[in-house]
Amino acid sequence: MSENTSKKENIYLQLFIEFFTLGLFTFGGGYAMIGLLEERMTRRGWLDSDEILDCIAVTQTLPGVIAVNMSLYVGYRLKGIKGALVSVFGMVLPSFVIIILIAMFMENFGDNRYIQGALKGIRIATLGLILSAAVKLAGKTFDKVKGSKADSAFSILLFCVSFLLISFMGVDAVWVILGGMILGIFYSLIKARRAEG
Amino acid sequence: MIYIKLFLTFLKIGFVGFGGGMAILPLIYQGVSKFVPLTQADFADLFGISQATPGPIAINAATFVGFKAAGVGGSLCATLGVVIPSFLLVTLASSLLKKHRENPLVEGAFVGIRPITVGMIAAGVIYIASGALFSADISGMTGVSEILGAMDPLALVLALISGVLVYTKKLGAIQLIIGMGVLGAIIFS
Repeated sequence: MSENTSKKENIYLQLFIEFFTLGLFTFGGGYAMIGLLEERMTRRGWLDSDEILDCIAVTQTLPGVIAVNMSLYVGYRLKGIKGALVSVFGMVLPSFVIIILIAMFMENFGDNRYIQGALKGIRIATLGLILSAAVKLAGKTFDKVKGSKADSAFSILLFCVSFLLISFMGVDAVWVILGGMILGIFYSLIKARRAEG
Repeated sequence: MIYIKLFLTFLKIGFVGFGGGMAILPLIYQGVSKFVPLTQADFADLFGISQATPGPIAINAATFVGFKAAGVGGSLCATLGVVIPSFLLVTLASSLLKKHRENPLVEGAFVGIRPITVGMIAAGVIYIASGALFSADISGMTGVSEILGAMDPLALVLALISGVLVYTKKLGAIQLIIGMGVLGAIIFS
């Protein structure tokens, strides 16, 4: 019984630490957090590649701060309401403390050329991280559908259309995700009907 | 009362703010300028500081505006306000998903959503790259040679090395960020 309790405390502490770390080391939020999230969640064994994609899609589609939504989603997925509370507290705390210190003591700190240089280095690291996450998640997603040619063509087509619409046509990601949802439902219905004969 | 005003303003932003940080900053600007006496320079600071400090941009901005308006209590009200809608909506959506996970329609929806999300992350690569590899604004450029000419080749090489190190698990994400921060402060300053 006591072992059970200590294990429970442990996971809440882990959630807090994990999201505190994400809050402390992500510069820019949203897209910038994807690479870090993928690496940390996979390393902990908390989410597999499908679940990471589901997390990103759901948190992007809902209103609110995307990074905050991500922490709530993972916290809830692992440990319900309490897990969500602990995770979001960890996510918000570094921002809260750092911003208040800056507002009190050093408002023009951003003009410092060493900080500018460090931020440029971190942006490059962030690019490397999201690149690695994109390759991993794409590999896993397209691998899984290798079984059927139609499934794999459907996935790759949706991937290409989504990339082009968001990146080059400036379409809001929310609409593209909702579109994918509708197409996915139709595709599955047609597939089920075909399978029935 | 300023605390309640801050809380309600950010509560509204939390419910209607789609698209994350950069999309929410203008909402914050509109929302608080009615009752918080902030100067143009304060708003310039708001944009600069929110992006140059760690953490979600909109949380940084909420904390900053709240502090300017009413000190630490103001920060607390603004941050709570913007987080509460997320808390309600994400937990509601998650519990519904959990309940209907086995439903064939829900399963079908995710069959469509996953490749779309991979496409969105690929678009995220382009978005992050445009900030990390270029010193000039490339949105107005059309020619391929013009865009390539504006690119910093050292940054590209470092980004590729970073990606390979993380992909092959030679380096953890946090070590990479700290390392590149230190390296950047030395070579880009």
